[in-house]
Amino acid sequence: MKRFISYLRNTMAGLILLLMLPLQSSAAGKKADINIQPGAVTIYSFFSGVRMHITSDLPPDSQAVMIIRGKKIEEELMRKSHQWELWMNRGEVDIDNAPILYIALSSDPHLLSRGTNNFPWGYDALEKEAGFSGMLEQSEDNRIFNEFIQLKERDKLYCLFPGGLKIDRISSDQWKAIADFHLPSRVKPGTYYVTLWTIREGSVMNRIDDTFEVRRQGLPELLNSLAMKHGVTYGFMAVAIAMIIGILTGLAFHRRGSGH
Amino acid sequence: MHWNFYLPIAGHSLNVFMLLGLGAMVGFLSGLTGVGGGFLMTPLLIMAGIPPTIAAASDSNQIVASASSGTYAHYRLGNVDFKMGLILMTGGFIGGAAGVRIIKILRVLGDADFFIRITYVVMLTLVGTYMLVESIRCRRRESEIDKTLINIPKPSRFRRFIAVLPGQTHFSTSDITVPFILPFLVGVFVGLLAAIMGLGGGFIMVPMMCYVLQMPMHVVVGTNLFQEVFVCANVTVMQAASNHTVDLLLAIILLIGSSIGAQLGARFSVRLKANNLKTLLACIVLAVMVKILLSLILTPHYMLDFKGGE
Repeated sequence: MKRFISYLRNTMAGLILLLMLPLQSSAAGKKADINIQPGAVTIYSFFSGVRMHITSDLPPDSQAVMIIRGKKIEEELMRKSHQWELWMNRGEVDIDNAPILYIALSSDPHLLSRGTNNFPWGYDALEKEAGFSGMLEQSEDNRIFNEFIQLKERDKLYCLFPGGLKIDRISSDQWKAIADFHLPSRVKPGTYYVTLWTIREGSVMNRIDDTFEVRRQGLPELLNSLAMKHGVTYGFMAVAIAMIIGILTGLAFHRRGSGH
Repeated sequence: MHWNFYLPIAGHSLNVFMLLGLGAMVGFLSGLTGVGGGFLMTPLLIMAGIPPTIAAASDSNQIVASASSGTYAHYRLGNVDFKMGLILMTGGFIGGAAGVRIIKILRVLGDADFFIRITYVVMLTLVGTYMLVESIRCRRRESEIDKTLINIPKPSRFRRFIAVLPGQTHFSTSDITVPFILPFLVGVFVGLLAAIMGLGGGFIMVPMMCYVLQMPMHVVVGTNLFQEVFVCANVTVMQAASNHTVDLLLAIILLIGSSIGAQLGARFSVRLKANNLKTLLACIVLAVMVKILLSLILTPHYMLDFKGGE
């Protein structure tokens, strides 16, 4: 009897799993709904950033927010302070759990405005996730984070594009979200995560995710790996190349000079 | 075609022609005045968006090229005192090692940044003002000589003291006789300051050779470039080995520009009067001092900086 019950239980579990499979595959299928162009970014010698084109199907009558983020790291910063009438770097501030790159686009500009909502995207959400340590008081977290964002925006590694996510209404039941933006040349190699949030009547309806890779190739990869793995050899090579170019230029100029 | 080139250590791309232009401009001044140009190039690279640690290390690599090119040009003109250069270099390495230790202690105490900036302001003010005053005095003296045709300046107390010290050595290229300990101590002093300030030290070395060792200005330029080749080669290898901050591609682009600029500068320096060279160098040194002083006084745009930003 016990065996029969056990058999029945296993069969039921199997049936439930079979029933869930189409549901899971439909959820997994949503992953493929994000179309990222280019699918992989290659950093080569003449790389100066790349134009990204990301599209995804959108349910009709909805708004959307797209987030592109890099891995989370600990950023080490120096804080400036005024002493003896002079400005100088004094004291370290560490911001933990901050993404290396953060680009956000929204179809409705209000979806990215700060201090007005409680959505899991935007700078407010990043601030909640971040940890602060070092030479700062607890009440200063917000000010420090705002200054950190200014630094990141200067390097074009953090950008908000309110209203920058375009919606193409192909038909009454087929809408498409389109994001066009420039991925800066400062982008580091690694995996980058794309998330599309669908919003209807102020509530989040759905979330789909995808990733793309950024890789260094050719001369940049060769020199970077040599510099990081064989520093001394790289240093001597750099000096030798510098001396040779310097002396060759000297010789070239001497010949040209003597020719006159 | 954007003509942007990706710099693998700096981690972003910059316009090739802008970098070539920067290199040529600083190289020209280097060939003209004999200073390596580190105190000019590093701030310019930082302004172009290169992280400061990478800017300083890659700059020392490109100085190896511009200084090699300049040394060759000055060697052909007979303007390099190798004997003097070797003594200065020996002292420079010893002073440099001591300077690195001082900076390490100051970093532990947390006052390194302030100390470095203040050292910059004080040294640049002293050197720049002294050179400017001296070049004006020399001009006045020259005009008086033209009028009276009398030129018998009395040796100063310092000169008389130097003359009685043991170990008097004649430097034929410079045509001076000084105790060998004097250029050695000059080397130690400049090496010490260069290590604290993180530069090749040309802008301190050139006035020291000029006024303390009383070497002729054109030999000063060539000899300083000669010793700077080795000082900056040492810094490049050390930075590449310990901090991985030397961007070879950045250095190559800069050095192509600076090598050509240095050649043009060296040729132009022969046409300029020594006093004009001194005045020009003094003005450059004072301009850099004012820039650093302003960065200390004026409220900065960003209250945070990424670590390694100094």
